[in-house]
Amino acid sequence: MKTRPYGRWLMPAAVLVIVFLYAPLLVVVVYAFNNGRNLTWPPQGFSFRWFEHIFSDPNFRSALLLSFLTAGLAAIIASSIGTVAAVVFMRNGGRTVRISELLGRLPVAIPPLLIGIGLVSFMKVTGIQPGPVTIVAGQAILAVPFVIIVVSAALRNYDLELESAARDLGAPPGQIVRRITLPLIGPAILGATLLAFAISFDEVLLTNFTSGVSTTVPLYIFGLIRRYIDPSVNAVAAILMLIPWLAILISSLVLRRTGATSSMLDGGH
Amino acid sequence: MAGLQVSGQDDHRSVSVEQISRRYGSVIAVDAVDLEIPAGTFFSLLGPSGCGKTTLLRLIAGLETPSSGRVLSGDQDITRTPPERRPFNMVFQRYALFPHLSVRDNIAFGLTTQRRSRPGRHELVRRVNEVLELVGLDGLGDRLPAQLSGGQQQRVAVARALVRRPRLLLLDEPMAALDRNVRHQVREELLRLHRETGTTFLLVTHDQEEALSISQRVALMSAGRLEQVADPQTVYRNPATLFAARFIGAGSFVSARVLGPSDGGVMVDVEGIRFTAAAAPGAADSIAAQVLLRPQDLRAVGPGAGLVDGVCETCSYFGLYFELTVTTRVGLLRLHSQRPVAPGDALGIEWSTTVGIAYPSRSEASSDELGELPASDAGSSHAWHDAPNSGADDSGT
Repeated sequence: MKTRPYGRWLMPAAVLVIVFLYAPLLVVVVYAFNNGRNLTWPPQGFSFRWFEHIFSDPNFRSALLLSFLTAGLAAIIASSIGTVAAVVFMRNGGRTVRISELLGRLPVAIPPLLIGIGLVSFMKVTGIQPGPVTIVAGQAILAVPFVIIVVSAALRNYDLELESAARDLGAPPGQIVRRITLPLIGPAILGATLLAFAISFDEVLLTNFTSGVSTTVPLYIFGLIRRYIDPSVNAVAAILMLIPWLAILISSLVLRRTGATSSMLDGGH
Repeated sequence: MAGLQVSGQDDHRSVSVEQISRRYGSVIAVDAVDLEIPAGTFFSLLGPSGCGKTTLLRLIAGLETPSSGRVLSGDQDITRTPPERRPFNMVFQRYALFPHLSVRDNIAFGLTTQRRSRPGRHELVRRVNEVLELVGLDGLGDRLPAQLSGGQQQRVAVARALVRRPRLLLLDEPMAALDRNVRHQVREELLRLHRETGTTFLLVTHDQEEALSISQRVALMSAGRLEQVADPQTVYRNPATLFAARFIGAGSFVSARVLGPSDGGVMVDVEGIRFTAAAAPGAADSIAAQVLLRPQDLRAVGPGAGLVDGVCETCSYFGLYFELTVTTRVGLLRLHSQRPVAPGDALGIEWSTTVGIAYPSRSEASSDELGELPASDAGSSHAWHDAPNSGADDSGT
């Protein structure tokens, strides 16, 4: 018989962790579909009334639109900057590059609160008015380090010798990027973009500093619970939870899909 | 396979390098090398890892820029020509196949990079099929590289390079990543491809057996310099330097005093035993020498019956013969014997009056470099023609 020193406790422990992680989320989802007015146990019947309620609120609709716009833009900006940075970091071994690489990743460990305070001071000094543009800027700042980390990981598996081979086979630099580099690290860039979108979409702390009078979905939630606990907050929260999850789900589906590539010789035999 | 031969007036132009050097900071990887690779030859660059052979190959390919010196294709200086415009193609050590492209698309890649010379669809398919058949991969064209064995991947790498009909095919340790039993087959395969395509092959390897068995000419490198450039028989029978003698084949070295010129070489004295050895350059003028004695030069006889007595250390079986290592007062000797000898047994060793090659002792310094070699490469205890090769070498250079 095999002895499994932790075998008996491993499964219950894992289940406990999962319950701990997901129980609050479960409560949110259950009460999002609750028919009653109060957050009492047990929930009273199933309904979409809170979803109907919030979607009839023009403030929520504009907040949702703004969230999509700012997170989308921030994701595109962050993935562009982050990818270029990751490529530069991976190909150059100098000390300056190593220090910049560290500085590029460090913000992951910096509380958004500090970055927010910094941005507020920056806006005051430069006279930039808070609004959608500053929301995008703040979210992009937060997302860039994650993009760098994801793309660098992909580049580590990318053999630079492939580029030598492509050159040797007559490909000029532009063609190497288009035919070799992008197809190979493109999925990672796309994954990083969707991750950046997810991070930006539910970001609340930094956005609070940079939004001015505009409202994103997370800020809308804060508005709802500031005065009293509006039962529709659960519906909003469920939506807020769902969208980044969808982004991550799509990214993993896309990553799997890119395994199949179009052939330059389709059916040519 | 005449269709694969290089066409045009450039057929018979050799490729050469002149005084080419490559420095990395204070390290000189390639040190003022002059080398000509005649058109149509199967040429090998042989040397221990880190000797600069791969760097030299990449300098010729254009993937490295020389610190000084020139690369010539015929009379044409191509030193500043980028790799994508050189008429050479390379088989990379780890093949560098494009993992996202099928075998077919990997091979077609090199035909589709130059818009001006891009063949039509029909021609493209024809040439890819032709080369697939040439390397024996027909039927596997739609696989991805990851779905192939190491040997098959190597064939794809060769096919991908040959489809462009290069004037020179560069092979960077193409067999290092293969299992030993596949290597033999691949070697014959390369010889066949060389014969059928008529292309010049330049092979880089650390494996002397590989280099000597398949090439028409071998350039032996050490520490960024050429030690000897000759045909395999000459390299094996008459290594030009002590380094070459230690690197090629297997043998024992004994210290000797040089007594003076003799018929066919120099008279040497090894601890009182006198015989005539062939003289490597400089040996006749020096006082002390290292004499190379090949295992097949020595014979085992009864104790006291030979020129020197010794005690058997090891006895290994190689099918056609036993190989003995014997401790004697002149040093450790390696020899072949038809009969096994038990370790610990005493025996005598004799050799003829004209044997071995004497190398001047002042070039002893080069033996330090040899000290870094894996033992199986440097002190390989069997003749190259039936030596199982040591493990795979890293890219090293």
